[in-house]
Amino acid sequence: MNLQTTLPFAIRKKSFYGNKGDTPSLDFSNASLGNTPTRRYTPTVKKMVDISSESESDSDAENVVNENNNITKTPLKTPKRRRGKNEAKEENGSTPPKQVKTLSPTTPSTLLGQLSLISPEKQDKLAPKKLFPSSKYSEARKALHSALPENLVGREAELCKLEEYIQFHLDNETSGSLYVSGPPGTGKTASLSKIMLKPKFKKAFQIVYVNCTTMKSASSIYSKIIQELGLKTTKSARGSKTAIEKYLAQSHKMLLLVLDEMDQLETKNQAVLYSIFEWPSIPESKLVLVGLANALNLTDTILPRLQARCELKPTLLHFQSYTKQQIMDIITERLKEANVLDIFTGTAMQLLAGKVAAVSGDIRRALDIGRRVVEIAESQKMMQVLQPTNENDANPDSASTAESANEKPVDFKEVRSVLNKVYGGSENADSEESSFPVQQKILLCSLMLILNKSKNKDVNMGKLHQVYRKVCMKRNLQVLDMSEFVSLCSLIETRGILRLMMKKETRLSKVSLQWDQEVLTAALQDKVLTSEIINDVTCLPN
Amino acid sequence: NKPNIPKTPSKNTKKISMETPTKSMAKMCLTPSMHQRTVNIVKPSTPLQEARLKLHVSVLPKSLPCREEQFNDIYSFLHARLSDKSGGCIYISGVPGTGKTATVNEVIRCLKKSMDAGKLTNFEFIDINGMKLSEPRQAYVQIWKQLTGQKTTWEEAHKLLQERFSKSNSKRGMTLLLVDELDLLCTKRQDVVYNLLDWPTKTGAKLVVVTIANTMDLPERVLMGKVTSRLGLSRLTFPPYNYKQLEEIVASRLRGFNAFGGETIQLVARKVAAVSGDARRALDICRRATEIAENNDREIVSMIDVKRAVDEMIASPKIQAIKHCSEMERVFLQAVCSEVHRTGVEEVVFQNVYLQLGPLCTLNGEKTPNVTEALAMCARLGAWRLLLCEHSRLDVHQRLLLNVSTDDVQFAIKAVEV
Repeated sequence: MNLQTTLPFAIRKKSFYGNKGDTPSLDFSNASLGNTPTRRYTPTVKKMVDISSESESDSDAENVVNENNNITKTPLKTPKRRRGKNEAKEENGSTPPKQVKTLSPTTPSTLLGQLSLISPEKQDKLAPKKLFPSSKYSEARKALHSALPENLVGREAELCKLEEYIQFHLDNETSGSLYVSGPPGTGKTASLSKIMLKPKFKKAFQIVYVNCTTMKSASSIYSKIIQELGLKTTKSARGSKTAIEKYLAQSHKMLLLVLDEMDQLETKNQAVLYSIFEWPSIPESKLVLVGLANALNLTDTILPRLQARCELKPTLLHFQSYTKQQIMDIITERLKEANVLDIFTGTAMQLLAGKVAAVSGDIRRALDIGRRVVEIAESQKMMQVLQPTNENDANPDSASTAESANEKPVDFKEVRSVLNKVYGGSENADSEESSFPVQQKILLCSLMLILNKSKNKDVNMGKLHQVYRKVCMKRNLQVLDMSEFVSLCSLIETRGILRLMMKKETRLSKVSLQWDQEVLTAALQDKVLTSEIINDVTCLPN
Repeated sequence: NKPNIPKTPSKNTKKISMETPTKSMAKMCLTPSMHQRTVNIVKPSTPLQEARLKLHVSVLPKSLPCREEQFNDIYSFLHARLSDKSGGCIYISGVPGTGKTATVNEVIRCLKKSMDAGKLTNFEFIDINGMKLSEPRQAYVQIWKQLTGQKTTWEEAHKLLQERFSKSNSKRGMTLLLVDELDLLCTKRQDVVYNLLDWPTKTGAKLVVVTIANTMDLPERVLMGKVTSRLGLSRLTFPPYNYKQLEEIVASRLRGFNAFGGETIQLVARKVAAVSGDARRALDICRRATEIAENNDREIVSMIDVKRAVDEMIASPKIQAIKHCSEMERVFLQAVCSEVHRTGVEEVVFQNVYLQLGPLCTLNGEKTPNVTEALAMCARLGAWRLLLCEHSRLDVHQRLLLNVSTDDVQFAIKAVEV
């Protein structure tokens, strides 16, 4: 992490200082120093500054930064070898001159060698060609990833409960089962994997984590568990089941079995789930079973027989969807880690969190939207910056000033536009495109005509075609044949406006309108045509 | 090369020994090849032929006109993910023939170019197509095959992929996976889609998944909540082309040829844009128009040729079919129409139709066919799908449904009489 954060800053700062001279601004130096907890190499830095200021006539601050980068990155080695290694490792997108810059020469002689490689003029020339290899934006983008995070903000209580539960069973050496439920994206798996990574549990337990979606069928879970336990494998499912049960009856280490996406194990008679949930009741089993799924009452609905025996009934733990405050906390935490907290303004964050919390409370969505907002802001910035560079290529400084000046925080406006795109629904998307083919418009209008004016609201394809035909004839438009008409309907279906219930005969398949009529009229946009057709009762069959 | 030394027969037979099928299967190192053509293909000579070659759907143009915005969106997304080395998914939707796959492939080509130039980290590109898989789980086999070249069963491939993507390996580059026709991978359990979309969320996977499908609301309509949540909200919709865009697409392919006269392309573009906005269709109609022009010995495709091609493509064969029915069959269709008119219900019973048939025949001055003949007629019309009939064992009680509109029948019959 350190490595990634400091390197980009250096490059950005370089251009900044290059313009403003030697006065280092406070916030920037803080940022870089905070990231590099280094005491060991400070003398080297000083020395380096002296040398380079003599030979390269570059600014002090720049050298300090470069130096810091280098030392955090690679231990001292001979320069040549390091360069080779660096280039091999980091040929991703950085142009040669930059790389040479970040290398730290350890002796004056190597420094001289470096000087001869690329002159400062050439560096300046090459620098603007690179499209912002690293900036706050990309840092923020990286920070808002939806992979497993390091610390779980907003799930402290649940983590505590989980830990307590497992600790309790660990202390008493008893078995127990736990069912964790919650909507998607509320951090169930993340919490569990955090618990599993705890050293004390790692030591005390033999941990088996199974994601049930990866199973071929429900019963193949036994062989998977056997594999994880390191038992002797058998071919048949029953054989492996008995092997596990035998293992559980023997004396063994405490076992923590985590079944992710447990609802995938559903079968006709739930034999697999029942037998798994019965394992904790085996004497001396010492098994802590944790099942994860989305449904709140999965254990009640698909495993009703467990209710009969109290010792078998799993303890329930529900993960609530994230609240607005929690989502804000998570995003703030993530951005703080990457040191780009100021990329979002307060209102922007409020809006984002509020909207996502109101709709689903799914943190994956929140992070996704956050990342999307940053991406859009970045692409806009890129366009702005590209403009001046194209005009006057001779002056590369203009690009770099624009680059640093444009890295402004994401505001209310951008977040709103992304949210509207995502949550505004299909009607919003369509109003921008305004591209319904004419025949599709007429088809939809005819459907609305039938729904509004006809007595019989039951619409099938044949009837719709009949009305559509009349409407077309009246307007002197080409009438599509039935077979063509069916494909037209299915094209509209892909937009989610219609739903076709296919029967054996396509003529009899039912057509139902999925959107609200007002929304649809707004999406069609052609007000004159629409209202004309919708009120044209003569086209209806008598 | 050694001189050809004759060998004793016994030695020869040993060498020749044929491989058993299992052995050649096990080898698998042979690349499949196709039989070569013995004659060379004739190069196109006339401008019309050349234009036809250029207009073929399979010819990929150098740049995709009218899709710049979508190209930029996808490019910026993929570029950001690849340079960040973080995983992610994007869902691309749009009706057929709007350039989804072509745009994505173009983006990937650009990314590969910048990878070769050293501006981007190495990435591996894999594409699977839901349509080309016999079963959704075969996707694992295909992915693994493209990653390593080995062929295994899906269980094994799945296990290996799971291992590969859940363990982080700093040496490995990014992987870019293109899933075309995503809706075909959705089974009841949706385990394949879940796995494909779950791998990118793992820290060590370094996998970017691009999914393409037709339906705009597929994630909400078909996929489970947890799958939709993993799919994320990076979505992109390709709108259908409007007539200006279609015109530009065709014109950009024909740049340098003057095979098409004046407004002809515009006519095609407008006709297609009014129905579906499918670029494939516009290209096909243009190709057909060149064929028609060639048959008529014209140098340049004229408006008449295009008109004929459009009529052929958007043709309605049913009226033609009715026109070519026998006289009695037409009367039978008329009888069905009048029965529908009488009852007001679309579904009619054969015996009632037969009752209508009598007076109609008398009116025409013809002998009324007996029930057997009428049933045979009914079965014939049913086989042409002008009528929808029930099984013929139901005899006179079978119900009939007109598969063409009553207007069509009247129109066709009038046209014959005139």
